[in-house]
Amino acid sequence: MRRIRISVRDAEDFTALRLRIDHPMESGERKDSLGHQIPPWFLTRLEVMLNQQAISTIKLGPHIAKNPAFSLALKDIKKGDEIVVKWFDNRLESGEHKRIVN
Amino acid sequence: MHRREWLKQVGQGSALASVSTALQAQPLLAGTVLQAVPDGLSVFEHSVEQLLDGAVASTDERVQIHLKPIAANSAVVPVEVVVKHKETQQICILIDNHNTALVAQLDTLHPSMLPRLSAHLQLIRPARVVALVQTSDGWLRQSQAIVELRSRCEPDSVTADKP
Repeated sequence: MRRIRISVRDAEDFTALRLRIDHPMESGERKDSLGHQIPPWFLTRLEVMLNQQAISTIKLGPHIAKNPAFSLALKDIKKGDEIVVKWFDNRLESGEHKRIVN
Repeated sequence: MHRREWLKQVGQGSALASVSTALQAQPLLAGTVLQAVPDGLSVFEHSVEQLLDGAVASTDERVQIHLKPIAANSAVVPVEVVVKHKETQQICILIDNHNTALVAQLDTLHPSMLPRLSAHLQLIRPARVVALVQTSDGWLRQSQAIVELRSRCEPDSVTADKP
């Protein structure tokens, strides 16, 4: 199971939702020390839900850094709101993580 | 049926089966890294064409890319796209000079979402970062180049093929 960290912080005029997901994010363009191509392994999609309602989908390519971190800007977030993040990768693995805003 | 005719039919059938298997496998490959690109177009140009679907994107100051032109660590290159347009529908970040162009595509249709996205790229070589933004006024565009990659802080990185 992959670890996802979800943090919610107040920024200037919005709420910053920060996501960090433990994932190798191999682009498929690199070779190892023996010259063998390292196979691609990367997140393909993230889905963000607020209080059980889908608010955004992020399609991803292979050129996101290892253990990717994203920051999204939300408004009208209040204490007790439930944020759920679902992830999917190109090896058809998936998972989700929940966070209650406090 | 003669054995020779039967073998011909079976042979054609298996050839068709292998062709259909190959065709079915293509979307999976396209979904990973390899992309079928028409002759004369780069992967980047093809991706832009697919996203715009015939529309034209005009360079606009309301799309801002925050990025340093010299990346200290090519494995973690911070980029932020901020859009100063109230009716933004999606933000796409693309790079050229690599095997795959699309980095991230965020939809911002829900009223809770503001048009702002930050992420970290991993680059194999210097590239131009392009933000394509779909709004109620059509597609807007902005770009910025990363001209130099200083180092990659990972022991297993050795080489990379040219795109």
